[in-house]
Amino acid sequence: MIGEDSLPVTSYWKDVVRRFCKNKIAVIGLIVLCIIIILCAGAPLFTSYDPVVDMDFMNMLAAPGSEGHPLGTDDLGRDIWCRLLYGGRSSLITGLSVSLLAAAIGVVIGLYSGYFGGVIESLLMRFTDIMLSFAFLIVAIAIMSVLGPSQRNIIIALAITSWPRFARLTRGQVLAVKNSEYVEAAKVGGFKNTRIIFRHVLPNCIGPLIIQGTLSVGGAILSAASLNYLGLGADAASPDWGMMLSQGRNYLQTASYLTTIPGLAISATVLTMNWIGDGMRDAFDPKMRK
Amino acid sequence: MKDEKNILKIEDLKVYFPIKKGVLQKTVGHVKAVDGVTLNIRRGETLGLVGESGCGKTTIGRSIVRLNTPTSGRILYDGQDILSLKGDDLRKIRRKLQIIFQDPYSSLNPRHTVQNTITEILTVQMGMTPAQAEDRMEELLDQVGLNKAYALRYPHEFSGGQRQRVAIAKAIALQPEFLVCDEAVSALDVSIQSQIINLLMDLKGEYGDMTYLFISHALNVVEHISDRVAVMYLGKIMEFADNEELFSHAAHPYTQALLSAIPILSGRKARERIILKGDVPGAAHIPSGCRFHTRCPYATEECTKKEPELKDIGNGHLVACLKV
Amino acid sequence: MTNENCLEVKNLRTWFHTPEGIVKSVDGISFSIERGKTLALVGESGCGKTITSLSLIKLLPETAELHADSIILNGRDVTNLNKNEARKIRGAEISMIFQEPMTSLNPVYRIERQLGEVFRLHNPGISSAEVKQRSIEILKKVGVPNPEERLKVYPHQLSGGLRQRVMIAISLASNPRMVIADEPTTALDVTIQAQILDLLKQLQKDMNMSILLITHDFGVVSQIADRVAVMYAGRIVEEGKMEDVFTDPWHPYTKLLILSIPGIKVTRGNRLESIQGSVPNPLKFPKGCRFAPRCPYAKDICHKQQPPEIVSGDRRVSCFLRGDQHEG
Repeated sequence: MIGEDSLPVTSYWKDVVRRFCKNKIAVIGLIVLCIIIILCAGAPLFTSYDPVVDMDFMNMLAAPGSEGHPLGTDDLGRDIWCRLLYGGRSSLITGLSVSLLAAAIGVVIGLYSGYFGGVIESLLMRFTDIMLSFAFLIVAIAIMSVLGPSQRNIIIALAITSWPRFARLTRGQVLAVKNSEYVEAAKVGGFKNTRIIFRHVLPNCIGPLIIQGTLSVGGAILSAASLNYLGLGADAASPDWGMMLSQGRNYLQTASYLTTIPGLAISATVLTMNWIGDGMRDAFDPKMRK
Repeated sequence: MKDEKNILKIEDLKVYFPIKKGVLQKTVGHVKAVDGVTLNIRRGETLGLVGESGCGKTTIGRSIVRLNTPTSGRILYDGQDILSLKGDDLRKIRRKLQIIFQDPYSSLNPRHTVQNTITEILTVQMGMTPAQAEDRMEELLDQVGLNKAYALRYPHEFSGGQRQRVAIAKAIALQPEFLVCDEAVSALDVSIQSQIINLLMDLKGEYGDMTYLFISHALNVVEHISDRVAVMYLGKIMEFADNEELFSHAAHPYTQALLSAIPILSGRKARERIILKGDVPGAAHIPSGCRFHTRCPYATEECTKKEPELKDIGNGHLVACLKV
Repeated sequence: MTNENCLEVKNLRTWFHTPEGIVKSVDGISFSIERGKTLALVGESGCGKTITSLSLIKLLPETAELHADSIILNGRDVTNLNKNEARKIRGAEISMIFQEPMTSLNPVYRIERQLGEVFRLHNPGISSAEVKQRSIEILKKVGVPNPEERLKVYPHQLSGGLRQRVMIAISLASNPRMVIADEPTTALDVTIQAQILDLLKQLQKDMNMSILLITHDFGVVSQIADRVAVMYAGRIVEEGKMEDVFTDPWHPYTKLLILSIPGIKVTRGNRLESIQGSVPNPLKFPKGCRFAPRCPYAKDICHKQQPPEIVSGDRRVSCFLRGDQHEG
């Protein structure tokens, strides 16, 4: 390497932020996501209706652009824009919670099974494979019947069905990293295994995990929708993008906007999460320093 | 019991790696990386361990720092059998036995800055406060000849020679008594190599006479830096002697062949070239009798049947050859 | 009676266009190799020696720009060849032995196929029987035991030394008059290295071919080179007969480099010579002599002007200090 004095020196986190900001698409994604979050979190500020009770019987199934209802109304006269904003809260919280919970469980399992190998790995991975082979729906229904239907239980059920993917991914990454010389050096340095796993191995595996994390947010939103549709979630009246999507299916021919609007909201969120995920993965990689 | 003269004693060390085949991963054979090595290393010396690829020298180095699990044998450090240590006891002894790897590009964590790497060792293993650790880190960087402004850089921003300096700083941060240098300079350019060799020689003095096990296939470097030298072939020691004795009066045919392959550069007397025939047999199929007989220019029938032991031919010069 | 030159290169420049600017990897080198002799091109990483070899055999990537006053191979001007013409001379007139036989031999084809390919390429219409016979002959020539059996194996089934021999066989199959050997023994054990270098010397004698040896290892140079050229930062700083350059190097870089190697002049236990600083950034070479920033003998003029090339007998050096008969 040449030019020892050519690069300015900054702290790790400042460097991460700087690298992230250089990625225009990631920044756009972040901005859009922030807008979405602000709109949904501050829903009462942006709409005067109530998403559940306010039903405008005069204007049922009004098309977007109608007076007083910029995005139209659904079959019960509820304002779509309003339900979109409130529904966003539910969907976003579900998506993010599922992703974080599944990651927390799956990554730890993947780390330990990959690092220690042997019997531990066999046991953990067989368990993971078994979990993977169950269709999420069946598991979810099973869990629901035990815990009862609610949004919180949806999150738990989906997390339980999503962690195996994180576990396998992490394990694969760990296998690649654990035989690196710097990990060996850490062992020779006398560090405890826990420290080696979390400070030396994990940071070098994190790239694909971030991507998986962001992808699973979108997946969770959609899966939650199915569960809500089946009545396993909270009551059908309370807003949720997935719910809206499913309910609009009956009106695909006549009022397709009932499906397309929440569909676009989901897509937009998933897309921005992907962009952010890519940006974060690159930002954490010191080799991409320019 | 502590041996005042020898800091490390390797007793009949064997490291076999199983070869597994088939769906059921049955063990069909063993790669005998180290096949019965006994070696005593004196306090404060630099012991050179030479041999070509597959001879087991790297495996021995790694066994000493407990990076692999020997199949049998003992390694006594200051009288204590380190192969039987576990958990906290093992961690305590690790401070004293450190290693520098060959590849400066892979021995540093790409996600940690130099500061992270070195201060972590100092705070976790040496119990320093972050402030103390930072000061000590600057001292260490200074000792290895790195500007302390580089502390916040990542490994990929350094050249090979600089990375190796960081690796050295890391290794001596723990103030070890015994340092394994596993081909520590082999991957470096000639002009950088000389800097690192000088550095290693300087550090030895500064740290109260550390003991070095210098593993290398580059005989001229070993000759320059070692007090005594052991020559390995296919998992066993073929010859062992004081530096000058080995390089001027090599007795084993393999050593002679190795030495004759050292470049004849200006100022050295030309050695008669001995070209060995054939290739190195794999460590999974070690020849019968003397393992060198397949390539030895002096091999006879006896050599295919009987495996020679290391015998002393005077002044601690050990040779494993039936013909000597 | 002068031996004719197999290769004559005048002012070769190979530049790379990168987003950060032009990288002048090879920046004006000239040399020649007599028939049947070996010239070693020595230097450390980044000096441009590998790019030189790729330039001669025309295997450069698209971003490279090659200029030369002239490159004459076997009496023929090959400075500006298009892809087709280049392909024709490759193998027949000039051939290359690479450093890492595992990656330059195709792992999915047996040896007989890779070797046979060469024969077929340069002898269209040749029969299979003759290909096989010639393959066996050349494997014997490079010292591969049991050639008939070895033809049927894959590269990964051979040891490093054997693979390199096969690689040499492939390079020589078409009887080239000029061979470029790029670090041919770096990946091999010392005893195997000795075998391979010996083989190359023998083949050179038998086939009267010229060798351009690219290496960073002075030991290898001393074993088979007749002449040596030392490269630094894209230029040749010194050239001459091997023994002359080794016993009495003229250029400070050569001098320091040789003194950095343990076992030459510095005796055991003493400090080795070392060169301060690092190789200059190829995007921004210093004005004046490229080695001046690191040279312990540099004078004022060394930093300001390019050093002239001083020729004395069959030796040349690019250094201001030579004029003063500087004693290192």
